[in-house]
Amino acid sequence: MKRSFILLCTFSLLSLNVLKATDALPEYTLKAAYLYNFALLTNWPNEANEDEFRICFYKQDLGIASDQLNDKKIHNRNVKVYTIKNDKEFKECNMVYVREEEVVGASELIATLKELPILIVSENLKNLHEHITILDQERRLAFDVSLDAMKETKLSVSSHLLKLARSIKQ
Amino acid sequence: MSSQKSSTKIGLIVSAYLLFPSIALTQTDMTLDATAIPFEELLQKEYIPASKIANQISNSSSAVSIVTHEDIKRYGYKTLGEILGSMRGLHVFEDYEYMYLGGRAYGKPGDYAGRVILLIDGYKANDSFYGQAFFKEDGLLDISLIERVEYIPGGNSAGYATGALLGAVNIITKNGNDIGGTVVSYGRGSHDTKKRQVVFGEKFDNGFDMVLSYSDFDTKGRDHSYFDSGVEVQEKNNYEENYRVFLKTSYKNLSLEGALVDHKKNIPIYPNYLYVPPIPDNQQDQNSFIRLKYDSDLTQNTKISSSLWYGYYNYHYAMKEPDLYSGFYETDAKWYGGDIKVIGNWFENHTLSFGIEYRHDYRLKEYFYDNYLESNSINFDTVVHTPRKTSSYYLYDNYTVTPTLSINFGARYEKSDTGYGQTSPQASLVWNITKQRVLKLSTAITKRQKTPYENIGTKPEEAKKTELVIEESFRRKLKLLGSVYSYTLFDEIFNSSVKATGAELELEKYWQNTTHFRLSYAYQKAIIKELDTKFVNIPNHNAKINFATPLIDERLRLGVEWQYIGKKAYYNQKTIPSYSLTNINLLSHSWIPDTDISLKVKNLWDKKYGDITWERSNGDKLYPQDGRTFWFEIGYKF
Repeated sequence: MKRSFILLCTFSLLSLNVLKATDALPEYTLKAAYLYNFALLTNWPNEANEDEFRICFYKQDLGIASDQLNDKKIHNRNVKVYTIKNDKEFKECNMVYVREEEVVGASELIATLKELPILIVSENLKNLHEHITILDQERRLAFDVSLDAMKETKLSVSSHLLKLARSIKQ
Repeated sequence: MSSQKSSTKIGLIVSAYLLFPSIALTQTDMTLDATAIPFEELLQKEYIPASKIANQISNSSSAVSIVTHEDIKRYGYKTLGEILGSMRGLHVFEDYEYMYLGGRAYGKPGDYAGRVILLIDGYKANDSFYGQAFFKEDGLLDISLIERVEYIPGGNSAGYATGALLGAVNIITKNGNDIGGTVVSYGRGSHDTKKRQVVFGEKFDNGFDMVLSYSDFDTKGRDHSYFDSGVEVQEKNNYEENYRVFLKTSYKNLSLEGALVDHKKNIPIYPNYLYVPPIPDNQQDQNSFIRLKYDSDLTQNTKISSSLWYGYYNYHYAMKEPDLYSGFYETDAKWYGGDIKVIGNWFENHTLSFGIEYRHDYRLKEYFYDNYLESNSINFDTVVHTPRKTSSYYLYDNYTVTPTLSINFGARYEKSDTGYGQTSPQASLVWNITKQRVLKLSTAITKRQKTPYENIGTKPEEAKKTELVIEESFRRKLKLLGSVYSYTLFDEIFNSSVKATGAELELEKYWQNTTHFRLSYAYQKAIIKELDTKFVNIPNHNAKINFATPLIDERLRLGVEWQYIGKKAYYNQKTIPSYSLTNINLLSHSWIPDTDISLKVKNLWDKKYGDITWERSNGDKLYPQDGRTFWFEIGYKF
C-alpha cells in the first residue's frame, strides 16, 4: 500500500513535467472562445442602453473557462458571466448557453425565450428554437446556425459567421 | 503494529491531499484563454475532451437509466425507491422494515445490499456493516435535493467504487445555484402522513455555493389487519418518523458535503406470524457522512479528484412486553477513508484514469440485550467484529482507436487486512456506427467482499457479465435502446450460482413543449444452476410506461405512469401472480407566483398486491402493500 501510494504520487508529479504543449485546446476553453466569437459576430437591437453584456449558462457553466470571459469587451460592453436556473432571470441575458447534458431539461426555457433578443447556443442535440448549435466533429468543434429560429428575435448575424458555419438553416 | 501502519497510510493520504491542491492552485492560472485566437483558426483546433471526473457516469458502456429532477417533478416521486422503480427492468419490494431493489440477477427478499452500491456525488453511501442502501424515508437524501439519478446495471465497477457487483445507483445532488433561494414546502397524505422541509441554496458573487436543508416526516402508517391468519389487528401503531439534515458547500475546487438521517419506525406484525405483541417492536436507523473533496485541472491534460470522508451508522431494534420482557439488538458502525483519482490525456488517443482508495471500517459492533422482567434475569452481550482496512487500486485506459471506435479496459484490485484480495477486470467497446447509432459491447468479472454482517470468510462473491447495447437516435428527439445480457453470479462459500439472461427495450420521446413519453420492457430469466430452479422474486416480464404532458400550458401538468410486474417465482417452486400499478401526478408550476403545488395518487385503481417475504418467516404469505394513497404538497420559493 505504502509503496504503491508513493509511486502513484511520484508518477503524478513527474507527469507534470513531461507534458508537452500540444496544438489541441481543452474543450471548455475552446467552447468559451466560440461563445465569445459568436457574440462578436452577432448584432443585438438597442445595444446602447446597457453597460453589461450578459452571458448566461443554463445550470452548468464551463468552469474556469467561462469565468475567463468575465470583463472582456463585447460591443463595448463588459462581459458578465452568470450561471442561472430561474426562467425569469434569463430574460435579462444577451446570450444563453445550454450544455449537452441540460438540453432536454432546457427545452421549456428555450421555448419561452424564442421571441426575445437573446442568442441561444446549445450543444449537439437539436432543439427547434436554438440559434446556434456547437457540434462535435471528429475532435473539432463545428457549428450550425438557424436563421429560421432567429427570425422573430431582431438579432442579426454577420455574414462572416455564416461563412464559417457548417450548415445554415434558412 | 497494525495501528501504526494505519496511521502511516492516513498520514500519506492527508499529506498527498494537502500537497496536490497546492500544486493545482499554481497550475489553474495556466488555463488558456483562447479568445485572442482568430475564429478561423479555432475551427481547425482539435480539442481535449473535458473529463467528467467528478460524478457523472452516464456515458458508461452499459444500458444506463437516468431520471432527472424534471422527471421527479413530472411524476411526483417522493422516494429514491419510487425513482428506481420507474426505471427499465428494475423493481422495488418491501417488507415492513425496508425497501429493496431487484434487477438483473438480484432481488432476493431481505437482501440488504442488493449487490448494488449507492453513490451520492461519488461517495459510497452503503453502510459498512450490512452494506445496505436505503431507498425510502430511511435514506440520506430528500428527493428535492436530487439533480439526477443514474442507474448503471452490471459490474463494470472499477470506475465507480468497490462492491458494485451487479450495479450502481449514482445520485448527483443539486448545487445552491440550482435552488437559488429558500424553498419551504409542506406535504400531507394518506395515513396521516406529514412532511416539512426548508432548503436554502445560493451561489454567491464570490463563487461560494451552498445548500442547507432540514426536513422532517411522520406518519401513522396504514392498518395491518390479517384476518386470514387469525384475528390480528394492528391499528395506528405503525408509526414512522424521520428528520434529515443536508449540507453541501463548494468554493472554487473544494467542496464539503454531509448528510444525516435519523429514522424511527414501528414494525407491524408480519402477515404470517400468529402472535401479535401488545406493543409493536420498533427500530431506529441513524446514518450520516461527511466528505471533503478536491477537484482540479492540474494541467490541461491532467485532472485530479481526491476526497476524505467519515461515516457513521447505527441500528437499534427494540422489543417490549409490559411486565414480561424488554430487549434490544444494536449495530454500531463507523468508518473513514480517502481516495485519489487521476485522469490524464498524456498520450494521443488515450485517456488514462487510475486511482487509489483506502477505507478503514474501524468500528463494527453488535449489542444484544435481554431482560426478563419476571425473573429479573438480564443478559447482555457485545460482539466486536475485527475492524477492516480495505485498499483498492485501479487503472483504466480509454483508447480511441478511430474517431468512431473506442475501447475501454482496465481492472480494480481490492485487498483487505482480513485476508481478502481480488481483481475485477473489465473491457468494453463503443462503436458509433453512424451519428445516430451506437453499439456498446461490454464484459466484466466483478468480485465483492462479503460484509461483516454476512461474516463468512474471505472468499468473494463473483459476477460475470456480458452485455450488448444498441442505441439509436431518430429525428425529433426519439431514442430507442435495446440490450441483451447474460450474468452469472457465483458464491464460492455456498458454492451456488445464479444464471440470468435477459433482453431490454426502451423507447423515449420528447415533444417540443416538454411532453415526455417512455416505454420500456424487460425480459429476464434467472435460474439457480445447481438446483435448476427459478431464482425467487424475479419477474420474467417487467414493463413500464411514463407519460407527462402540460394540460394548461405550463401552469398545470399531468404525469402518468404504469408499471407491470410479471409473475415471480416463489419458494417451493410456486409462483405469485403478476400485477400492475398506475400512479398519476398533477403539478401546478408557478400558477400562483413562486409556488409549486402537486397532488399525487399512487396505486390509482387500489390494486391489492403483496411482496415476497423472507424465507425466515413461516408459511407462504406475502406482505400486503399499500392500496390507493394520496399525497398533496405545496412549496413556496422566496
